[in-house]
Amino acid sequence: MTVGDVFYKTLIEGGSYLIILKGLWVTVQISLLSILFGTVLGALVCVARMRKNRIISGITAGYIAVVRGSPVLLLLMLLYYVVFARSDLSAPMIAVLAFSLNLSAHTAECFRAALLATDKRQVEAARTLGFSKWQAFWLISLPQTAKIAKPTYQSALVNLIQWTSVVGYITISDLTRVINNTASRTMQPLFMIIVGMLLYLGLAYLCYGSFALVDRLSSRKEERKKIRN
Amino acid sequence: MKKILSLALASIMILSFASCAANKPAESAPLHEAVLNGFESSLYLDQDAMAELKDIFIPLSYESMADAILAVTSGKCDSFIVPTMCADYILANNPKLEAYATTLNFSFQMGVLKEQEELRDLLNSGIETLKENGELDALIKKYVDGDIVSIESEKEGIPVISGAKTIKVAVTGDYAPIEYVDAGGNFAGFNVALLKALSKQLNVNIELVNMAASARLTALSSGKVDVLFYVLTNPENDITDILDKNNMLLTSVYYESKGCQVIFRKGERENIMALNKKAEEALASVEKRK
Repeated sequence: MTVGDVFYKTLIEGGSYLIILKGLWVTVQISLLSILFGTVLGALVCVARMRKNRIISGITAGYIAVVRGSPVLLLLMLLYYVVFARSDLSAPMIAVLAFSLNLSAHTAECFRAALLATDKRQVEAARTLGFSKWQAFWLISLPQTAKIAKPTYQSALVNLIQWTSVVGYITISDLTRVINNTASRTMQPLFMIIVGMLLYLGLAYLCYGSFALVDRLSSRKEERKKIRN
Repeated sequence: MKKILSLALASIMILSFASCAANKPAESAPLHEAVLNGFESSLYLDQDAMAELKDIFIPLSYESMADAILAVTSGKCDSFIVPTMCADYILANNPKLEAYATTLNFSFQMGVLKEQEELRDLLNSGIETLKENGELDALIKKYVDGDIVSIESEKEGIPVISGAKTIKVAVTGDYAPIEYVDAGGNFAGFNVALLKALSKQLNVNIELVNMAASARLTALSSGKVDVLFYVLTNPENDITDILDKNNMLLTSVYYESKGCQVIFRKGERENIMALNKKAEEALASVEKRK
């Protein structure tokens, strides 16, 4: 059997690529929703963690420690098979919930570290110059925080995309599950693993690429501003 | 401190090299035998026999048949046992492998939770009727024992009967030709055909739930599914203890394999056969002692 034969048999015959794309779409959907909710939740958790109130910051520190320290697969199975076992929530919803929780803990720590790394005196200076608390945060701290947090945040997202490969455990036919099913049908597991890896690699670079694109657009905007001034 | 650490590391390295060298002689090297994940293999492999043969077989656990094939083709593992129709399917699709027939026989049964005796009896009555009216034999001939390489998949799916109750059945799609997912993404194979016949016979709706094989037991015990479509057993094994421990009941047998085959890489027939023979002899001597 040549590589061409294997390629035809696993990916083309009977429109099998369509079902692989469908699996890819499920993975993309779960990832995007989790990134959205996880980031928002992460920001909220970060705010709570930074509060001076000991009880609030203690609770959030505990939450971060538990969620960040436990494997997301076990969290996923706990939510699906125990916590929401009798509820009508669909499996993809629970997957999004589990991954959002996991990502929120990671991003909260990432945002907090970045916030702490910014120069506090700049905010103080802004406040003495008459900026409101919100303005100081929005105009002074946030842009710097975003810059510092970006690399860690980016890799947290890519990690999340890769972690979604375990949703087969809770009855979702995502990319990994579809790849496994195809491997079982065609009995060509090695080739299918390579195909799956390339697809996940593609997703990861799509994520990196979109960050680079945003970077380039914003730097162009700044240049234009400079020219105008 | 650093010195002590590096000394310790160096001694570990030397020891591991030495133990590698000690393991080398190929004559008595044990076979790495792939078994499909823990719980299932304990039903069809005799645990006492496996313990007896620990110098000949080293069991390695794998999630699915595809993983086991990957392990065998890559040399991580030497062989694994599958029912004959699966062996036929594997050999037809993967030319790197060979098979050797053994005397083992596997039965296929469905699994339900212990509390669900009614469900088990219902399924049993369905299977019995299908056996009596010859429908089951026809399905087996068409999907399992026939020309399995070119079987047509069940594209129709299982029709929904309005008002009837629904039974959720866990399928893995990883056990061709008993269960697999076809190129169009539909469940296909013997499982769909049999469940379709059962649904019609018993007037119940059957919903197929695709999941990873190792999650099936959790899904069953949490009530996310009601039935595991296939549980492999060996008629010669006493498995009441294991079933008890896992809180499970089995339905009557709906398919019995026509023997089993050991799958291995091409060109290793002599080695594999010699070791399997040795295993058989060892087991026979144990029988005698009893």
